[in-house]
Amino acid sequence: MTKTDDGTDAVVQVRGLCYSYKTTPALKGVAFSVAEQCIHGFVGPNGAGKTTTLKILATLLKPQGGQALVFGLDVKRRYRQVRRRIGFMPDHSGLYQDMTVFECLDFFAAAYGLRGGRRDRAVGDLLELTDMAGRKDSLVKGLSRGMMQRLNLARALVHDPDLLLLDEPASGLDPRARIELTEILRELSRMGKTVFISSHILSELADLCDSVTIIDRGVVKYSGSVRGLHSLTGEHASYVVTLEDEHPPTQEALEGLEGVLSVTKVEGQSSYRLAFDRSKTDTNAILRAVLESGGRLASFREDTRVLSQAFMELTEPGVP
Amino acid sequence: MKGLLHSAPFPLLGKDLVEQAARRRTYVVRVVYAVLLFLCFLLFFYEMASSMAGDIFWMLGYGKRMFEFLVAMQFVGIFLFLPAMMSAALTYEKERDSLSLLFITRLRPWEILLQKYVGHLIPMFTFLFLSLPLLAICYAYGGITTAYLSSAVFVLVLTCLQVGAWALMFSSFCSGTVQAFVCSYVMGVLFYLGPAICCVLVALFTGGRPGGDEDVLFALFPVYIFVDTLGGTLGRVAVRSIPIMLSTVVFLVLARAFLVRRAFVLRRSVMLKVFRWLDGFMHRLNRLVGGIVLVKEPDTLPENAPIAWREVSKQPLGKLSHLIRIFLLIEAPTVLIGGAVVVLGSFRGDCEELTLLLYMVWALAALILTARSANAFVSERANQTLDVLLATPMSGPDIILQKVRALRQSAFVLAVPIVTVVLIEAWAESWTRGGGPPALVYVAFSLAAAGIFLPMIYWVSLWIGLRARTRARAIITSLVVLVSWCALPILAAMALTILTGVDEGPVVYPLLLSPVSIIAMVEFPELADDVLGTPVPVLALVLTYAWHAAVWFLFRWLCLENADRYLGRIGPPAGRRTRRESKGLNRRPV
Repeated sequence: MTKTDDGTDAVVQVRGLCYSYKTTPALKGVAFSVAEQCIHGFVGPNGAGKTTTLKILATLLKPQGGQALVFGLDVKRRYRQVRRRIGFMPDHSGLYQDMTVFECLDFFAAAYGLRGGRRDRAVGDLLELTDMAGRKDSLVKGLSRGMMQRLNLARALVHDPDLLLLDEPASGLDPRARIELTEILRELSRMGKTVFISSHILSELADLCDSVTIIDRGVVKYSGSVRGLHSLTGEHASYVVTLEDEHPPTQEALEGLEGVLSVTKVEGQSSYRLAFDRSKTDTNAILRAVLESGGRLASFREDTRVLSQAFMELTEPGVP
Repeated sequence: MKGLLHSAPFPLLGKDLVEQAARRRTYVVRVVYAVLLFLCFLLFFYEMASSMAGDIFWMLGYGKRMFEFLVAMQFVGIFLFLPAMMSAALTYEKERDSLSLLFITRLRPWEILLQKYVGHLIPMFTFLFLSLPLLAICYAYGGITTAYLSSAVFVLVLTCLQVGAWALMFSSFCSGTVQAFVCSYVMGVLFYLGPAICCVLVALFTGGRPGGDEDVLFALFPVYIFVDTLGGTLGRVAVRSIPIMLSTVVFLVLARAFLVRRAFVLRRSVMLKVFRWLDGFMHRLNRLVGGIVLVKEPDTLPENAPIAWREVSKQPLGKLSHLIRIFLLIEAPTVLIGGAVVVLGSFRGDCEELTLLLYMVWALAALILTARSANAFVSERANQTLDVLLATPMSGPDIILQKVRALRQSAFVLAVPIVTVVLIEAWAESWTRGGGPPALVYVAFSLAAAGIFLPMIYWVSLWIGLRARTRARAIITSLVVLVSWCALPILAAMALTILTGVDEGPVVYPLLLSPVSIIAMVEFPELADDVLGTPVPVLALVLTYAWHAAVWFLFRWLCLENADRYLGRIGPPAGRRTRRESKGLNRRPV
């Protein structure tokens, strides 16, 4: 296996990847790496080249230039071995509508060459994992979009792959289904799987991902940790403090803290958005100040607006 | 053109014309039409000139004959090309989900319909205009009166209007282009020739001569009107054409009625719908006799070949019960008609109608197989299920061979009626001869034809389907290739016969390239004797069969060798696949 820039094992290593659809270039020298057992977000606006990259990693498209390695295997030459170790979930359903949930999973288990008891166990486990056991005899065409995505995820996991390639799995899902999907992905990460997930909304992945690659018009604009993305907007960090109820002394305490640049109350809520200089203070000091001021803390999180701002700065306006 | 597009009165017409003008296909089809028309006219002209010892002055006054030939060619062109062009008029909008957008504009349904109608008639009229230079030649040779010319133009235009309205009605009724395309042609044949076929069948069963007033039987057939009123005035032709005009109006009214009612009809297999209805009916009927189950549908899960399992247990025409139904649907009338022909024909001493029956079951088998195999992979693409299949470790040849298993099963079922007719014919022949062994050579060659042509058809169509991106393109291209394969060698032999003035020997060898003429030669050995100059054309037929088998294996090899590339994923370069892989045997558990 190859190594990432920080010396950890790289499950995916992409170097100078190029691909064109006739005369339209989709990828222009894309390069990034994904560390083992992490959740890596692949973010970009529509037409950025996300699906093309994913299809190359899934051995569906042949790279026209550069190299794509999965577990150190070149997708161009060692595609058979790559297919055995990846689970691919495209941006569309990809499921046979005329099958039942159980038949569908059994079908793909057979396609991956699973036999007898191993196949039954795999299908049973996945039905449990995705909470679809109660619907195993339902026809796929009768499932809701959220259930369809869960089934699709189960299908991609049927052969117990080490790497999951997910192309915009949350698109079109309602908030509940999104949260459920996120929970499953976290669980998979805990089970030691590497998850490579694409989306065109950065803030959607910020909480879930360990690392992220931002691509725009076939060019990688950023690849690294989510935290590193914050530094792109300067040395200033931005957080949101939410209290159980209104408590003006907390605002005063925060304003008095060294390194805090601004504290703004969110209209109609008991929340404060604050910006601070990382070199002068940190989140521990802020939390301490809140608690010492007598405020009852409800939540404390990074401000995703900053990520959106970073995303907007990295990507160019307009559709390519 | 852009001005027309942006002008207010006919926005849809403008859009359709601009779209057609931007498509390469429009020009390709126009060139093909022109080449065929000019080539046929040239051959006709050459034959005529040859028969008059090449003296051009002898041909003066024969312009009428040339003109009649030209009009006949235009009729063929209209019947062949216009349904294909018009059947996509509204289904194209339905498939793109843009018909609903048209409904919410200020355009009224009639306006949408008529603008679509005119938009697809104009290209056909441009095809007719292609014959103007040839018309000038005909006119220069003399013999054509103005009345004759105007009545011919009138009937041709009327034919365009009628056939166009007919195809537009199916475009309005059907949910998809392929469905509308097939309906336009199949129902078109039944519409024009149905009454006459019924008369022939009635005559066959009653043992009499076909009866019925031809004027009534062919009242809606423009070709008949044209032939029947040859030399008549325009007024007379117009009066005789009233039923055609009325039928055109009726088709347009029906198209209007279907336009809104069936605008959002779901794309479902008609066959599947019929089978579901039949299932329900049979179950209700079965309860009366205590629930007898003759053939139990296997209710298993895929073992090692999941794609083959899905094809035979989930697909509409793959299920055992559906195959048995199709078999009975074709076999029962085949046996019934075949038996009737033998019994009634024995009084006359011949059973020539069996040949017609054989061609019909062959045509049906070829049509069903072509459509199924062309659709095999393109349907996976259309339903977006191919990508996930391709991301599995199954090899490309394995995926294709599993699909082919179901096609092989269908081919087998469709071959049974062919074999039935062949056996009936062989038996009838030995019976009319007054006993003796059946014609073993005939049976052997007929069985070989079924054993070679059917796999060849599904492999060629499968290859086209693998390369096509849309369902309509795959099926239409496959049908065009099939028809061309059958017709072009015959046309080539005819052309060579005309050019050389010889009608036997090497000149007619192209006939051996067409499955249609091969079946005819097997049916009528005397035909082979005439054209090939040999009483027992066994060697020629064996070579022909070998050629067709070679085509079958070539397309099979092409499909399997380039499987991954055609399917759309990374695979080994051509010629680098192992033998095991080519046979689809490399499946190892993950």
